[in-house]
Amino acid sequence: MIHFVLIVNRRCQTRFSRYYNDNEITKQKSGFELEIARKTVIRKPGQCLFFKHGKYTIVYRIYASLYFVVGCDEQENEFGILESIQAWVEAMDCYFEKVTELDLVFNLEKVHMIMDEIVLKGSLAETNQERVLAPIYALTDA
Amino acid sequence: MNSLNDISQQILARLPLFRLKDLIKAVRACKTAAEERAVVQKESAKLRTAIKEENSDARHTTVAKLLYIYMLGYPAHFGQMECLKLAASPKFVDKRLGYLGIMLLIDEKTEVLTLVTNSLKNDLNHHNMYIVGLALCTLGNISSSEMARDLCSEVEKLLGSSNTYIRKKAALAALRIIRRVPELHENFISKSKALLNDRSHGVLVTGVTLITEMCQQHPENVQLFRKAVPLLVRHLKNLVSAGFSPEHDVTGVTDPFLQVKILRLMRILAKNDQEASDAMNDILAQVATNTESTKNVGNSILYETVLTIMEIQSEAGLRVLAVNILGKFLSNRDNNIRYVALETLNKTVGMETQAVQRHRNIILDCLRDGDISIRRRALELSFALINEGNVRVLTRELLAFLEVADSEFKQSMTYKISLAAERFAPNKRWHIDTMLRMLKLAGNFVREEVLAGFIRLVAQSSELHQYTVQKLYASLKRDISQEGLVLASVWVIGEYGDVLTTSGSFEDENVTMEANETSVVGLLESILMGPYVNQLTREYVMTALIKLSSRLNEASVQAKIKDILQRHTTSMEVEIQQRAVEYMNMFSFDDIRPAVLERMPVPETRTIIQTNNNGPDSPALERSSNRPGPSDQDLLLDLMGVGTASGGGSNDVMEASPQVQKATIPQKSQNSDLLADLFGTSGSSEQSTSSPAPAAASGGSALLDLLGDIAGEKSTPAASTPPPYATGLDTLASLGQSLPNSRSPELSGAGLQANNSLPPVSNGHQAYSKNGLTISFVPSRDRNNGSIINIQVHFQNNGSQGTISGLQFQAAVPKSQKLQMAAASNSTVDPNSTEKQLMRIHNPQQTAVKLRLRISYILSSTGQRVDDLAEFGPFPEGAF
Repeated sequence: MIHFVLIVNRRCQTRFSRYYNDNEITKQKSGFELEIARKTVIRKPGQCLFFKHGKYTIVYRIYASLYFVVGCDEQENEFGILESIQAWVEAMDCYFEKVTELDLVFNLEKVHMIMDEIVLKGSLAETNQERVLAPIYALTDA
Repeated sequence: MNSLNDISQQILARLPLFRLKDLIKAVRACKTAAEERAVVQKESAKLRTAIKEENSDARHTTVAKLLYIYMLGYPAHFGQMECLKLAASPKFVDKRLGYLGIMLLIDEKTEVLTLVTNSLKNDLNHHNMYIVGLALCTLGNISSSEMARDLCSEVEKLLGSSNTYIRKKAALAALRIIRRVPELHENFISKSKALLNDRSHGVLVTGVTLITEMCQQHPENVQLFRKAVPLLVRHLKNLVSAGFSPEHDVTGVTDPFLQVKILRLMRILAKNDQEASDAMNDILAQVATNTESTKNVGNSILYETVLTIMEIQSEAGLRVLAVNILGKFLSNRDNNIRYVALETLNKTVGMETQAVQRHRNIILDCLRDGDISIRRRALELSFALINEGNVRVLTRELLAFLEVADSEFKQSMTYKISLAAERFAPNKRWHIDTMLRMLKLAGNFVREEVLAGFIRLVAQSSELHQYTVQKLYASLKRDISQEGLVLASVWVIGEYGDVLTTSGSFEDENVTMEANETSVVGLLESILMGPYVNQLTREYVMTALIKLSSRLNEASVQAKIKDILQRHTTSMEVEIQQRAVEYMNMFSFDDIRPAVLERMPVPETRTIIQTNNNGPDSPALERSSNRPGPSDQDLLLDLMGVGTASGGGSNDVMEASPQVQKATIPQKSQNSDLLADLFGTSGSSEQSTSSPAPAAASGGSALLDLLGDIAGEKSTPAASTPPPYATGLDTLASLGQSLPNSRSPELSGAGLQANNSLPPVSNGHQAYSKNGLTISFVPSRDRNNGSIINIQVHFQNNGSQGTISGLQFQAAVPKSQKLQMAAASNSTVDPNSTEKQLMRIHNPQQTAVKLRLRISYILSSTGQRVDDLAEFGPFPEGAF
């Protein structure tokens, strides 16, 4: 099960965050996010894309200047998560037409909605790009 | 131009921030955190007023800004009601944002959640599928238990809906419900079975996830779903062998997500079930071989397959295939894959050791990888792989790695290396060499019990004493910075210093050196003066010095030792001062000093740790389990007026406790021997080994004198090989033996001849006759045990030299036999009387019984003590 998803930039600023674990961490949210961001940003290029942080396994992937960080539990297949991240980025890319960090900043709620279509409460829902984006397009059409 | 820009900027800055975009731009324009906080606070205030105004048009923007502020980290709970109102709006856009706000801002603990329930209920029945989906999504994300119960039936209904989009979302909403309220899972069982037959991959994925969760929560469901295994196998087959499907393709692999989910479900269903596992064997093999592993996608599927194969009851060929896949992973250049492979191998090495051994070389290569997490896992795996066959090779590699390892590894590595060496050492010399090398490389990180184990090992391998002490001396000469090495070497040099100095020149790493007494003491002194010394080291050196004082003979050396000890009698550390003073005092007891400083007894073999858990508990447990032992022994020793352990209050674990334990363990066995069978493999076997000097024997006898004239048994001074036992302890052992006086009448009654008459006993064998004292033996075979020979010793005094008093009789038997002596009836033999003593010889190998005797007595006529040696034996055939 996925516990949380974060997008952070190189300066450890959170651009997007979503938690799926009944808000255990909301109190120290910013501190927690900063900690994870620091740990992720500091990793060198040759190192593994997964590591352990407390009881979470952190899987991350770098796209341009953004780090897509997913925290899941130990049972998850790490490679599968990597693939989901890829699917998510592709969906956003398609919707925003060449997504950049600024797109994330100015259209945060859309990013949330796309995320909602792909992952529902920690489990993967849909990975087909068309189907993911259909409701979002319906939003703007309606 | 510039002034126009400035003016327009100023005007813009003063304008209210209408749209979300403006707010975002304003926040981004802030240079410092304080500025940002100011902007946000101003905006928050405006938002609050907007909420109060209840303007439905502006609601959308208000909530959008609110969410933005929330994401930045500022409190936004005042907007929760706004989100609710927005969610109730008929417009889809508003609804969407409202529900998003609800999902982000409201959690289970707020009471507002109950209001959401109503809104959700309405929307779950909406005709627009997206709105239904939205409601399900919200439900899935934040529902509480009450909400779950309320809306459970709705979700159930939607699970059977004809719309795939809705079905998909409903499955995950159901997942959330059963996580919250596990009892409701029964409602969904039938519907979820139907989901498995769905054609849409999205539904399949969510359905499989739902079933997986149900099986994990309630193992009894596994039975129900096992029937679905063939169905799952068919699905997987379709996925693997289907052609290119543009809808689900991810870089060449058809819907890897679904494949992975199915594999995971299969893993859960087939665990512990042979039938299901058999059904899967084919498809697992097919997936494993057909999936290409060049891309990450393929690797994810292969990884999941390997995990599944390992957990179910797969056939052997399949397991080997799995391990081979992992091996292939290991040689992949991508770090991620190697990490995952090492992790999995760690979990499975217990089951498939043979197959894993084949990849040993690659694993050893991973030890040198750049990534520390890979190194760590490779290390764990290497330790798990050690067995008798490869112990030499692996330990060599591991020691090479120890050299370059990070300090965090060093401690656990030394511990594990010593464990492995202990379990699998092919011979003692290799073992000692390995431990030596380890101490040289990482002496500072060695744990106490490892050090103790090493000392035990050295003490036990008597043939290697010379080799060991030479090697340790040489390495110490080169490097005194490693504390563990220093401690071990100092102890060994202290014990076997005489061996070192008399061994002549030896070679170590192509440097010939010779250790003479001055250099040895000089080395110890240099350690004391060196920069690495701490209290523990000083304590060890003190003790080693005093031991050496009795082992080394040169006067200059003795003076040096005294000098060093004298210097420390004024030390600031109480322990050091106490030791120094006590040791200095010992110099005034020259007659018993050598006895006290005898060689330590060989500690009995004890593994460093019993089980795998090498926490601090087990060593403590081990030591404490030995504690109850000494308690009654302490009493015994106290009775005899001897203290329990020398060097009482020291925190020197190695010296004190082994001494206590080794002193007491032979004690314990002595007692139990007497209580059970008079003959056991007690520690007091007689060997023709020596005490270092005759002084020792007399020292021993002085102790005996202190405790009363009880005839003990002693090993006679013979060759100069170092004895493993302290004669002092032998004394105690023999005292322990003769202590239960209740036994001796029984013993003496065993084969005692009633008559004390003067004429020599008819079937006695005369062993010694001098100065009026005649000693003769009357042997007989024990009735119960054929290899035991009872010998009655008769001391006859024919009175020519008057009364014979202070009689001490000691005997030694060959190595293959054991001797036990009982108390003599009297140590004074009056003229014309006979005293008796019983000896028992245990002769399992039926070798010839020979005795070497040492007799000491005082003649009343001359008043002088006579010491005599005699040999007797063998007993002629048929004597017993």
